[in-house]
Amino acid sequence: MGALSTDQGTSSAATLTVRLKQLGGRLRFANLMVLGLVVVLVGMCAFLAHASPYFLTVRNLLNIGSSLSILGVTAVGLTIVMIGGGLDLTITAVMMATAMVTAALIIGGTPEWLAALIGCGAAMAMGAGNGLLVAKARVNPIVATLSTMSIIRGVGYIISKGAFRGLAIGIDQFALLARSSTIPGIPNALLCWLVACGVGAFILRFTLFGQHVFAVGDSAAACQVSGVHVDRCRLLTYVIGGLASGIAGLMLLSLSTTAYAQQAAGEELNVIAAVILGGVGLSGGRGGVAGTMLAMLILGVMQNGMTLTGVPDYWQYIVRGLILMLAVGLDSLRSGGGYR
Amino acid sequence: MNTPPFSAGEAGTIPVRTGHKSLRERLRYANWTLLGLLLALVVMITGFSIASPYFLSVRNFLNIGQRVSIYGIVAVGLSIVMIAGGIDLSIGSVIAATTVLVATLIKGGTPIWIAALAGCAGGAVWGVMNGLIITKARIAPIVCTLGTMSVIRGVAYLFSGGQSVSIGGQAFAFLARGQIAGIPNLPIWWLITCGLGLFILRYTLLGHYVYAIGGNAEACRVSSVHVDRWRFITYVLSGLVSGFAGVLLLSVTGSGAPFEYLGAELDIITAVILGGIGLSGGLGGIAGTMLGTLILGVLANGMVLASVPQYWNDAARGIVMVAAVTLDSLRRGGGYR
Repeated sequence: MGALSTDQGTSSAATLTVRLKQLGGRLRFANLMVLGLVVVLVGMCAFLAHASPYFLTVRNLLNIGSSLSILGVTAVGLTIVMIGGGLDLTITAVMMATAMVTAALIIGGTPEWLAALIGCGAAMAMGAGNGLLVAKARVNPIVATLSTMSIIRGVGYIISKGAFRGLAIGIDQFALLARSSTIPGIPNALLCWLVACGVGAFILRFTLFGQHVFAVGDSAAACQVSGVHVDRCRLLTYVIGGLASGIAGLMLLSLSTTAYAQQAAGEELNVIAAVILGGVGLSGGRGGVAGTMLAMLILGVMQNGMTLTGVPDYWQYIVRGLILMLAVGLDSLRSGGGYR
Repeated sequence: MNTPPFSAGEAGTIPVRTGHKSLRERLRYANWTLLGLLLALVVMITGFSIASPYFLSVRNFLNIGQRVSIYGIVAVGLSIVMIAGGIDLSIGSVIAATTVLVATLIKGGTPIWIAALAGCAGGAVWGVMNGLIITKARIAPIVCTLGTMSVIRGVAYLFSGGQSVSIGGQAFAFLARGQIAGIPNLPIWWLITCGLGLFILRYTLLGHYVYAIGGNAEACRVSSVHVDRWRFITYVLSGLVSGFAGVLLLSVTGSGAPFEYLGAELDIITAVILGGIGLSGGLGGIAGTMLGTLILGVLANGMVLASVPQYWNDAARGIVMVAAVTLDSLRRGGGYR
């Protein structure tokens, strides 16, 4: 991409054509993936509306949306990280730590807005730590974030002085972000998710950084020789990922009014599954926020529908695993590649 | 540790290794990962011995052995998978499913040794499933085993109805809780498994190809090595070993539970990576994995004895891990590009 942008003057028309073709190719691909997900989602909804009278009610749909919204915000950050070819296992640990730091500050008497800002700052610092390990120390992202996950969870334990001793803020504190409804009828948590998706889509589609993220995920080596700052780009994706998880952590605190060290543990795998399912895949360089959002919705509708139709909880483990493998399997069949 | 130590007798038969080695050359080929791990372990043991009078005792060391053995056993199977460049996230779920299966069989009146064998076989069957999905459907190991992790845990829940299946105090307990000459059985099983793993990696064709495939799968393929077949076998082995670990766990706890070892796969992967087996494969060995397992075990035990609050545990483990992987990456001039 960098090479193209330096190519000015006489061949600018040709460059433009090439760019349009690239863009067209990417859109066509994205649309196919998104279309498939939409078909699956609509099919599931149609089936569930038939199977349960409670499914297709405004209340239930809002319920699905707001229960997904916290992990949905994190998923936007993770989508950017994974399009850039990285992976972040710390997302839920960062959520917990942000909630913990903010709760501790609020209990200590800090104004709520200041506590929230400090919490976001801490989340970005944690993201930067991951980014430095990956981009500068060149540790494989899975290994790097697996180790920092331990540290961040550990810091949570240290702040709360033990496993299940949560920090509880007052019931009237910090309600605005996720618990109340500014627009009557629509939970603020849902709005937060939509805004996060919009910002994420804007970053990926309409900024130079977004273009670099796709390029780095596609081929880091090619970017290196075309003068893209690969390290800086990677670092920035992790910082953004950290910020997204931090905001999700604030929402979590707002919704539950408590923070404890085991909060949301293990959910990171579900979010990763959604991002993979949404078309980013493991190798990066493709996909987008829309796909991730649809995949989150599919998983959420599935869970909700199984509860409504009285399928035992345990089946969810099995169906979720099968959906993940099926999605990746179909994807690798279609792209003609797969694991070698 | 992967290259056998040089001896005078070998010098004549293997010409490449003849001649006197200068100190520099010896240093270059020394296994720095293992030496570093050993040093870290010794430093930790010294530190904890100073901090607590109870740490340096036979009883405490047997205690540590007891605590880390099951993790250590599973880590052997995972080591082989990871040296070949794969990964297996389903190990924790396989352990849980095995405890449920074996407990149900014993409760139904099956002789205990048949139930134990069935548990190991059940583990191997899950391994076959992983191996088939990875080598036939060509789904990347991390995605495949992330999926089967979920599926296998779900099957364990369905099979047990979400309840734990108690087998009570039976003869089955001897398998892991008994003692031979004052030494608990569990650490002995760990040592035996490590010995088998070491033998496989060093002296069998499987071990040879595991390193080769982890080093460069494409080169193996063009040299007509059956890459898929060997990979498949590593997953079956990992499943088998996890099944065996599940049988031992049932013997320790006396009840099969579908929620057993939830999230344990990350701890076990941590031990393996700490031991010097990278994610890209082709490197490391059982000795490193043993040291990695021991370091994490000693750290957890020593911190309790040194009256460090329990809640420092995760942070300490993470810091050790970050230090280890960063040093390793910097020493090798950067792995991830």
